[in-house]
Amino acid sequence: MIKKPESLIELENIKKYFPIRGGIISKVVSSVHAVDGVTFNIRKGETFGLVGESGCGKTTTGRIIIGLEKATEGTIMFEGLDLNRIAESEVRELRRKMGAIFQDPHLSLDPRMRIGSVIREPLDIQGFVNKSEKDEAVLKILEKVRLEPSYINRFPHELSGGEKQRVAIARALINNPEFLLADEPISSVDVSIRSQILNLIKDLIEELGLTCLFISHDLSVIEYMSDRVGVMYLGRLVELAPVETLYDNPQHPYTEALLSAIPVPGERSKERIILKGVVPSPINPPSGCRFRTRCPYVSIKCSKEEPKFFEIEKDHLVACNLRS
Amino acid sequence: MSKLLEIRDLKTYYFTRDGVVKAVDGVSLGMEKGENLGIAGESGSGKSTLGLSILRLVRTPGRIVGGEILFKGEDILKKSYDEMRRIRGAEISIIFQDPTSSLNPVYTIGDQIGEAITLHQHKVGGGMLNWLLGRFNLSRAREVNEKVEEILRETGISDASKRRGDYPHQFSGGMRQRAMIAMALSCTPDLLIADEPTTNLDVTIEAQILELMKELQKEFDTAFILISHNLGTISELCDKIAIMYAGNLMELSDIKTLFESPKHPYTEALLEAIPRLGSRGKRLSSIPGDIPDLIDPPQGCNFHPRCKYMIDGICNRYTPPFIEVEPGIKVSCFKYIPKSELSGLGL
Repeated sequence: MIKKPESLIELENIKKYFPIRGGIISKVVSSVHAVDGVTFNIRKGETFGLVGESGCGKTTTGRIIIGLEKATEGTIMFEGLDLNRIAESEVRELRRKMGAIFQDPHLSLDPRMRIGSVIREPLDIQGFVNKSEKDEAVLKILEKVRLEPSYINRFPHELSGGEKQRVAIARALINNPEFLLADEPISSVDVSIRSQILNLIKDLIEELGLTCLFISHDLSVIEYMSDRVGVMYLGRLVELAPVETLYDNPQHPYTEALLSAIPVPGERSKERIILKGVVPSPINPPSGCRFRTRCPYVSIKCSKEEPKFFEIEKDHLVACNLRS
Repeated sequence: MSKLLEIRDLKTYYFTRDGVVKAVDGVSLGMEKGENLGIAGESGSGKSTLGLSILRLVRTPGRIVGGEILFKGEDILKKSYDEMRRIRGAEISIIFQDPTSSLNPVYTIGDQIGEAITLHQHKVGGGMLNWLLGRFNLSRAREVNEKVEEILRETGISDASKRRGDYPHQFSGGMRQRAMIAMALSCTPDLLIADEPTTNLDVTIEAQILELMKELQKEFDTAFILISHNLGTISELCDKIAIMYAGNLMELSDIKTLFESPKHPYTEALLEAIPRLGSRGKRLSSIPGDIPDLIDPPQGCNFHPRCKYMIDGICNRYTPPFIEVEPGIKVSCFKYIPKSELSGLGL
């Protein structure tokens, strides 16, 4: 019997508009459409990769899921619970099930706190009282991120970039969460340390049975880490597929261009699709298909009709008028 | 014929309160006219300092403490301040990672490119005079303006005659970098140093800029040094590549050989540790340990604490020489020195 994969997180038509104020009474004059109608689910135990260029809304989507940002519209379900409808106390309870690591570990670690306290803090906040239990948990998680126990007495400035990111991972995982948000976790880590961190995250996901949303602008990193991948462009998902399908058989012109634009070490002058122009402003996105201003296959239909995000084959969704 | 650029045993140190940071510690390399060299390395490997040293732009507490930089046979380190000013921009130009911080926000793009042209080609007077001339539409200024438009057009900025009057903030990141490239190439320098020119840009914009640089390279035949941590970017543009690690050159090779058969253990480990397309299902290997502290670097080879080929008693005691192992390929590693010759090196 084939069991239907269960969703841990479901996003339904999520929108996030940041208001732009102007004039003497700070009236809302327009808004940045950071995320503009995103629907997808993250299945239990999978690593979902979210990829896109800067400003496409991938980070905002992640922040909405862990509750750092409130969606303007749409529903988010976590284990079947609607995050917009439950009480504040329940939200806090749920937050224990979510951990997050961000791009810059230097910014997420308090410079005046020792590493031990940094890692222990989430336990304190969640109201654990037994000190020896807490200390034990800290030592256990330190071992998991492959750091020596002696690190608990050090300060963040004594650590290298890679070690700081390990501490950030330990802190994110101390509460035994079910879900981990990893937002560009290796972007500020040195090249020769990156694979250490990627492998560590990968191992921990497996070991602890985590569900993960992995956000990156780097398609090769996303390929290495993810089971399913969503490609975002200007606040919308343009393609979503299992990793093999997306990389071997991309259906959206943007995905195709992205994959062809990556410079490959040791290779040169392959036929590349060079997109013209730049990403339009999210304040006033183009009508119809958002990608049409740069799309090599654009037709008249694209400016009038908004492409539907539909299933082209099982588990493979595309938003393109060419394919419908 | 002398080489275009020849760096011999260059040492650039930063004298900080915590100690002396040996950012570039004995680097030697040469470049012919029209050649393109990529310098790859991680942050803190000294690749940017090397680039700045060539233009003598290293700021205090940094100082070039030793070595020679021969440009067209003359030692740049012995040039006077005024001579240096004439070389910068006209003969050697540099583009940085962040175009925003290199452009003046209160002058138009056209003015800034025009300034570079007027200053170096001595065609018209200084900024004020040029402005006056431009104001009254006099011929010399018009000449500069035409040149500016021509360059902007060449770097792919459409509607150049209108965009010339735009301020930097009206340009997108990619366009600003185009303007920087335009400015750097305006005086047709013999050598262009590009320090992470596409690092701040999105992939699709990076592809545009790389394409542009490829075209310009064909057209102007300028020699250039591309400094980047991204081996992909370097492969796209360069024929030769130098790998830096902790202030030292580890390997100098042509692109093809480097990726097919890396010689230095660091290069070898690095290539296996970068996620590339097609990496799903495989496991990346990782380089153990961390980058050394440049205030207190390890004795011997800087890479020995992380190296799987480390020879005890040699690698952790002596600095490996940078020697040619195959024609055109230089490596600094004891692995390539036969045991019998080790004694000959005085070890």
